[in-house]
Amino acid sequence: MVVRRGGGRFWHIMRCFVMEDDKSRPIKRLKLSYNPEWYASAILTDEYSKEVPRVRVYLSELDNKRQISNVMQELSKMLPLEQINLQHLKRVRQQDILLCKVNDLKGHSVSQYLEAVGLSHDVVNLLCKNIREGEVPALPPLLRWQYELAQTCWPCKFHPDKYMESLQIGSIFNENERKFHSKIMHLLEAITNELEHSKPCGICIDPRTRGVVALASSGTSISPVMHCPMVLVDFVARTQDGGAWRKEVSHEFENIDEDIYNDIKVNPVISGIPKRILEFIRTDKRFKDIQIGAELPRAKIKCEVSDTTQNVDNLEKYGPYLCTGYELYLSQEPCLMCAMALVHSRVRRVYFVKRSNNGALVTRLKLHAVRELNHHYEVFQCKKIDQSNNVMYS
Amino acid sequence: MEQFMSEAFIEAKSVLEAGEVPVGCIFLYHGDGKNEVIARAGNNVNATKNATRHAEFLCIDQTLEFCTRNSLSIKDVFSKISVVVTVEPCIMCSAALHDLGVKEILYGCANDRFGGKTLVDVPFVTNRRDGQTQVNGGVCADEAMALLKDFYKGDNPSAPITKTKR
Ligand SMILES: [Zn+2]
Ligand SMILES: [Zn+2]
Repeated sequence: MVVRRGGGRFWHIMRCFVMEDDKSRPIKRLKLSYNPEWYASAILTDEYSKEVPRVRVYLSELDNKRQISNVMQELSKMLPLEQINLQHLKRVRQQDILLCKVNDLKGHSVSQYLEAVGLSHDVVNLLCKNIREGEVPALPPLLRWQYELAQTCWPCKFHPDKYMESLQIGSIFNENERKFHSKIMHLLEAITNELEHSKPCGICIDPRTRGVVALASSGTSISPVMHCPMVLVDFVARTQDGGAWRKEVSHEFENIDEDIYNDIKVNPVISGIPKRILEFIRTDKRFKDIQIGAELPRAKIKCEVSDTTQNVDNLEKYGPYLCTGYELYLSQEPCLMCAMALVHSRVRRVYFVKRSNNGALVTRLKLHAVRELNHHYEVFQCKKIDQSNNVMYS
Repeated sequence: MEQFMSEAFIEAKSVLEAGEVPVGCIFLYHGDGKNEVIARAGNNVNATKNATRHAEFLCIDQTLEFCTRNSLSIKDVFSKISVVVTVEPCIMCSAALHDLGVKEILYGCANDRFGGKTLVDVPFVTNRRDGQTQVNGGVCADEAMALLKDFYKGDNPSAPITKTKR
């Protein structure tokens, strides 16, 4: 049900893309020739993904438009919209004037309420002649689609947020980046199906170099808490000369003295990729242009707390630290344990393919929407586009 | 329980020198009529460069070794474990412990930053609503809070960007 609705919106998004590129008229086919096979769709927090909630209010219809300026002067002085937390709305629609929230009356009549806030008797009489209840948007619309819906209910003010807008319609990724998503998704698919017997798999990417920092699959046959994302962050730690599960996964990294792996011993940058996966990527023609390796951790620099939204900048400035600035591609939506592990690890973005029935990024919770946490990553679901250009959902 | 909490405090204090957030944890196993501490640890994030190495996770790993050593069923052992930890487990640890089906979690002070009980309905999200895992806090809360407050007065030497907060 939810998925279907998502599908509808996706088509809307595709049309937006096309119209953006070709201002004269939307030609759908145009974009398809180089359409990547995967599409990353942002999972926004509810305030961006749901319709703006509505609130019941009293509206007054004036007999005569000329009375509007009269009453408006007093209204905006004695009962400004800010005072009733509706400053995102316009006060007037044609002959209707927005008076107050129904719940604010607290047992009084509208006229009693209006006189109590200090309106003159005459104005109250004018306003109370023809009163009815109505609904208006309770909160400011944050995205254009919310704005357009809200407008059908009552005129609103709207301050578009370019970045959030681009996340919602998908224009945040240019063609190049979308091709890169497809490339990594191909790798993820191949490793999941051809190497790991469909176990959950994950890839950590440094978006600056587009290099594979680490690659992991679920280790639940070793330990019940070795879910793929938990193993993946531990493999990232290995690239920083750390790693906790060294004993448990030693079989993944043994026999590294063969010629082609000689560099593993001396060069920690590929130490986050198990041997057989490294071999797979290096020998398979399909993946010959995949970059491999993490940046070495730099010498420690002491610095002050900075804004977490500048995640990549921090990676750029200070070098690798946990998963700061890194982006994770996962075959499965992470569970709560893993989703929180990625918060602790300060991941920049999480892309996942299949939903999990205990998923904590969309299915049972949107952990990235919990404001109290000290770090928030962006979340995307990767969806496949088949030949006929239909979106396939997992 | 205070006796076991004081053992958890020993673990918490033991990692201070390594610059770790001082959180300590012990796992108390109620097997064959006796109570036995089978795992004990403090946080170990800095040395491992892995932000998930909270005391609870080290104890989970030790418990798995205990099961292997004694040829015991993992599921059975976890269902007979009381987790005693100086600070309310974070969302990650709480989810893991609910998933593993531990008998109970007893913690010292609340964790208003990342608390698995305070911020998120962990049993709902992890789909473990059978009520098997009891969660209770407030054991020696003041001491636990004082230890944390002391720590945050200083700097965490390992974090170049932001302090690793628990
Ligand atoms: Zn998980
Ligand atoms: Zn924890």
